[in-house]
Amino acid sequence: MSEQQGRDLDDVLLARLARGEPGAAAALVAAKLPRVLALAARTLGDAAEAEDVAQEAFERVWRHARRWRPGGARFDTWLHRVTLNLCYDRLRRRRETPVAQPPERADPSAGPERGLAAADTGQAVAAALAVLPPRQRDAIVLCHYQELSNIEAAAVLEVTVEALESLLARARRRLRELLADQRP
Amino acid sequence: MNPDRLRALTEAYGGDPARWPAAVRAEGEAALAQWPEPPPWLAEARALDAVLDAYAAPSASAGLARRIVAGAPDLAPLWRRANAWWAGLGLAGAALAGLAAGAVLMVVAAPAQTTPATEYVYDQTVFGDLAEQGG
Repeated sequence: MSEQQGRDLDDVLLARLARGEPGAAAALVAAKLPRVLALAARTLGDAAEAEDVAQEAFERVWRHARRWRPGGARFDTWLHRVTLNLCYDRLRRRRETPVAQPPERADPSAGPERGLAAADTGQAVAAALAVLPPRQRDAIVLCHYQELSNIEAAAVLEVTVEALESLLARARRRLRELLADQRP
Repeated sequence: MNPDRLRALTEAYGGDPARWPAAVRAEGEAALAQWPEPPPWLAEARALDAVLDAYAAPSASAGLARRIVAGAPDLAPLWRRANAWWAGLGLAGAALAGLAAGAVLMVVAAPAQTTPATEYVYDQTVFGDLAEQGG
């Protein structure tokens, strides 16, 4: 689906929601929940917390539904921004709350041998993303995983496209180092 | 597109031109096609892409979508909600009227019982009326 098609579909769903059409909320959730959940899970590295964030993100959608104007800011970009902000709140709380035992994470530098199952590689990638500087992690998550265009990702992160490219290049360089053992 | 820009694109967006900015995608692909064999930095970028792709997103747990939808507000305009309310009221009224009519019919149309129901049951057999049989 092209960016324009996605935008049109979002506008249609939001217009249906604003009119109070039956089934509109369910259709919007079906269209957007997987993306919101994926963004939160890869940002937080925790599936359960990601579900809480997804729920909170949709609460904000419901709150703003009546006020949404088609043709304005792109809904998908707005939703990414909202979700990331909710993730930042949780990451901040994590830093402020001392934990007796830190959450268990795979050490990316001591990754398993080559030829491992994708699940193990996935765990190593999750661990590597978690040690990246936050802006670099966000750039990779938005561009590689969420497949936002460079302009959309730059808008979500509130940086220029040039700054986004710099974040991406640094993130990928660091990930190459961290995941050297995972390469085929 | 000069080789430096091509490499910069690859290092930022990865080795798959489909992930590159739409504005430079075609030009980048054409430039890549001119290389006799993939340069090492392109192969490295593609290898990293493959590793990153192994990190699958979680699926939503059962009931998450339902819980989220349940929190959605009812944004239907007031007139439609009022219509729905009146329609519901009408149905309930019709049901009550039906019950009342049924009750009245039972009283008016049902024949008066001269024999207590229990006696009727005990006096009848598959063979006929016990009283008539002299039993």
